[in-house]
Amino acid sequence: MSHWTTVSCEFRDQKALEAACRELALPIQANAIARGYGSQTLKADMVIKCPGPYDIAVKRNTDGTLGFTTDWWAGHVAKVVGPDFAKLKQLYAVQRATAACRAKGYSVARTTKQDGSINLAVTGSFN
Amino acid sequence: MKSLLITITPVGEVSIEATGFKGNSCEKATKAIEAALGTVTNRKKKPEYHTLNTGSATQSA
Repeated sequence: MSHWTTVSCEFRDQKALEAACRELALPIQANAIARGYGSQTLKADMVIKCPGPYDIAVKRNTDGTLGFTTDWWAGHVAKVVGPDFAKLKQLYAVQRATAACRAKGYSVARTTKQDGSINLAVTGSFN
Repeated sequence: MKSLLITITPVGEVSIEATGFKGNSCEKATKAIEAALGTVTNRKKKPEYHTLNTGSATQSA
């Protein structure tokens, strides 16, 4: 066959999140404190440390997905992870999909398109 | 040749295109990747989906 599938990506995998943060050059710390507006802080399972004044707090939800909390004021966080975590979402999906393909023994070739989309060309013995 | 093309947009939307497969063998190929990513929201079959997947079979006389 051949088919097209659209997938709504869920943040679940810590390794893929860590790899996405590495690509963005953002340290991620376990059991840390996230900085918020006006010296407010939030303790979280993981914290993505951003270069500006605010960090991103990451918590594991009861359904197993990861939830993100941050302060979007003045674009400090959007500058590094994209509006509404767009860049982080994209790189998480890239890392997760690549790992899933490699776990099946497939080869993955990554390219970036002019519009900013990332293509993963996957080949292998699909038995 | 069988291949998959996974496209992730700048806002993290994912689509997977399977090409060159016969019958429903493509679904087996993409199943693990789809499960790793999240929830399938849409699936559209190409004409080749409706072709029988003729596996190789040998018969000794």
